[in-house]
Amino acid sequence: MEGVETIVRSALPAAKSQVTYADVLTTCQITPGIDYRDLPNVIRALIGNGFLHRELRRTEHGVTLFLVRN
Amino acid sequence: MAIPYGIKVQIRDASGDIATTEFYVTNTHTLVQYNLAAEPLVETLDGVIGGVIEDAVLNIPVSMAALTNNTIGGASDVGDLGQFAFRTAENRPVKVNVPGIIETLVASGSDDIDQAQTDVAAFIAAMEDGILVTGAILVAPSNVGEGDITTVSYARERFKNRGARN
Repeated sequence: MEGVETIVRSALPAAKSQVTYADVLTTCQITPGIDYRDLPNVIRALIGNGFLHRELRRTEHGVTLFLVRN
Repeated sequence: MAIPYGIKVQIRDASGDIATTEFYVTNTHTLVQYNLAAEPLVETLDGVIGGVIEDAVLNIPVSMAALTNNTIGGASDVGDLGQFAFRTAENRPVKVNVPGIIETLVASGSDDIDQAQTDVAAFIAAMEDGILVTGAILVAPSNVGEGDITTVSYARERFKNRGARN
């Protein structure tokens, strides 16, 4: 879980306010030792402590899930 | 083209058979106005039928013009259900059955739908968080008692019983 949280937090540094969920998922999947299935619980925990929120936005590819830093 | 709203009425007869009829109304009014109009409309229908009205629903169709994945998958089967169990803020369970769930979203060797997959995560986020619409108004899915859905308990594959076999 901690490894996944590190990936999400590093994807959303102070200079960057948002990232697609798919990008974070891909990074989790290609990082050795990371269980990408922890991602939903990590996201919920980070929402719970006020670090980020989720947003669904319409893009040219359809509706895309973004993770947005609060 | 504007999509007309529908008023769907379910009628049961003396032998227990059920039939449904639907008629449409123009969609240029507010929800309150529709509610006010729907009751007398159904009343007039009640006056001309011998059966009993079991259900009357105001249907507001959703435009499908913007759907990007609306094609038939070769292995799609509405007998394969994705059963999503949510809970409301008051901790009440809400189940949503999704017919025709994509098989590859189910973790191999189990009946668990993979909540980490992007499309599954987006659906769960929509149910838990709601949709922010123009004017910063949040439209949030709820249970039948308007309790806000806030968490997912589990997501599993289920199979509907059917007499026919392919």
